[in-house]
Amino acid sequence: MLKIDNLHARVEDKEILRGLNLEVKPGEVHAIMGPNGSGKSTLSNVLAGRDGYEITAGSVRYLDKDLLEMAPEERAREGVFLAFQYPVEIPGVNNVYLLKAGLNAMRAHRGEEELDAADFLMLVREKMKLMQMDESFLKRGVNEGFSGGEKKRNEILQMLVLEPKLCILDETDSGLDIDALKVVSQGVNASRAADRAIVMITHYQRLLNYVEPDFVHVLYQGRIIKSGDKSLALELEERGYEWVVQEAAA
Amino acid sequence: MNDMASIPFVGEFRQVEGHLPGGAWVTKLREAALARIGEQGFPTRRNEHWKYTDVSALLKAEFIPAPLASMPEAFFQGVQRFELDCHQLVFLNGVFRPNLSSNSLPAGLTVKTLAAAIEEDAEALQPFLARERDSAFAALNTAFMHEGVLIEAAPGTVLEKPLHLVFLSAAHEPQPVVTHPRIIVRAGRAAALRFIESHLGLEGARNFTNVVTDVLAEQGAQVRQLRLIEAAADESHIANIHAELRRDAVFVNHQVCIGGKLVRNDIRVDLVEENASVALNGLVLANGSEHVDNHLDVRHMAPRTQSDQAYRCILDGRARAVFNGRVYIAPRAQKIEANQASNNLLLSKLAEIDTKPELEIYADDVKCSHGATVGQLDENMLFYLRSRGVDADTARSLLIYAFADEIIRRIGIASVRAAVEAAVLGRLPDADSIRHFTMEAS
Repeated sequence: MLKIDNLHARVEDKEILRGLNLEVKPGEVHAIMGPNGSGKSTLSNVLAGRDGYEITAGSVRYLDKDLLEMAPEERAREGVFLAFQYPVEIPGVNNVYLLKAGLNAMRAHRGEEELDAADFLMLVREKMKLMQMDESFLKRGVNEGFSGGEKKRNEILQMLVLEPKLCILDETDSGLDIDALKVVSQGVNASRAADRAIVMITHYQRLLNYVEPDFVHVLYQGRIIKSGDKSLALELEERGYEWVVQEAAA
Repeated sequence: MNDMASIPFVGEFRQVEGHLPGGAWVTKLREAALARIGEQGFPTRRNEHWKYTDVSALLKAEFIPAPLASMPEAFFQGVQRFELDCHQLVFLNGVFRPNLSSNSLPAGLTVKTLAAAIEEDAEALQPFLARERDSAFAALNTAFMHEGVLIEAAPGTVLEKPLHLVFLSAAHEPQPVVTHPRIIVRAGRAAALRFIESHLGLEGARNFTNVVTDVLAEQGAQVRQLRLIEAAADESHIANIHAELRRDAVFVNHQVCIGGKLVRNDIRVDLVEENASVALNGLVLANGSEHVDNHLDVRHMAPRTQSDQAYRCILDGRARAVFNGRVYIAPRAQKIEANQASNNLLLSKLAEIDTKPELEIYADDVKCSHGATVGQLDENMLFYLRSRGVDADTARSLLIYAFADEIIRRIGIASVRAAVEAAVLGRLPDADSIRHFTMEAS
């Protein structure tokens, strides 16, 4: 589904990604862990198509297409979803209408008919229940006045409604208390499917207690220096990153 | 004194005076106004309050005064875009058209054309007509005033439907038309009325509209005014508005300015007795080389008075806007609350906003705030919307609309708010795709 090959990316004059390789297949859940400054957020931003990153080498293939050539909205319509680390507040733009516009843009892209208002509302209400969000969310502006936890739940709600093929979760667990973490994890687990891949980018392993990954990768200085199964995450939690770095240098 | 004939506009007075209403008292008033212009002239950019707005091209242009212009009726067939549920008075290039106006008015409300009111009893209107105004354009209006409206709400009258004054401006050749509408609104004790003043420039119009408006709100009266100025690209509009508020009175003024070659609005509000309050909200959309200048002047003359100014400008192309918000608090006018916000969105590198707060406070127990922001569309917001599948143009329009909506949503009358929304959306690309995003739609 996703194949990243020797990806190099820079921001202004600073090279952040330096030869990153990663392959993700449908149905898989990957966790990408790494210390601060290792390039985690750059990776998620590059995949979602944010401006300001220069790709100097390498390629990203998504469903056999060149992902880097696509505008952010094209990527979204092709099924790439980024759950933001810091979801932005957009006063005056209704939360639920954005969701509806996004969903209908995707359906139109796939040649499907638009969902009518009643069906759409039913779908959103069902997903909101799962995310334990109350009715007032329907009326509010995008993330407007939401707490940190509410913003993260709203991201996962969007993911549940839009049903993307590739979900990239950027530090979705940061700033969540234990109850909110459980709700968010429930939403992520509900998204697991044979035709969907999930990439969780995270600093800590605590999200992985609730959402079990198939693969765990360590990102360091813009490259993946070690990959393993979920036991690697537990080992990182216990021993930190230093030993992996030394092992890779040896 | 200068040679009167050489002063812009003034030279035509002798040709027009036979067409103007009023007896000896009004004639004296007109002559005095002309003399004032002769002595002081029109403002130049050396005048601090006209620093950013250059009227020299306007003064050089040739206009025909409204009473001398002809306008075939057929010209206005099909002009029917203002279908609000309102009592309506329509003026075409400054001339009242009873056939386009509705005439059933509720008890307690008197509406007369200005010409009729002046012919009947001009001196009764002395406090308004003879008011000292520091403006050559207001004096010009006094000299030439011809048409307009007198609205009087008797004490206790509460008007259910708003009044809609429609000023249509259509192309007139070879010379464009200058009109000087005069609007007087008197709300008696505890009366409540709402009126909409639409200035709509039809395509190709190059006219100049020079309005003077007076509002008097007696004790406990409430007056709500919406000025919608949708000027054609080559039109000029200058307005001088003065409101006086007595005890417990409320005045709300919304201004929505969409385009125009030169638009300048001066709004002065005198809060002369305790607990009077005023809200001035404004939205400016300008593009190309359009120029929109709003000067607000709120004077707290009595204790426990409140004011709130909120203006937003959205500028594209080489458009320029000016916001000057003055708040004056007189000595001994204690327990005042005054807020001011000027927020501006620049969509191009060449657009320019000059925003200036002017606070003059001579009392010590007051609560005042003011803030100004100038910015571009937020890249993070744009990216967020696009990452959810919204295309770039729609995302841009959506954010521009959301910025404007902070002002639009303050408009109380739903049908009017919808009309303003439509007018604003009409200026944005991808209007159809964003209509559903607004809060109102939910």
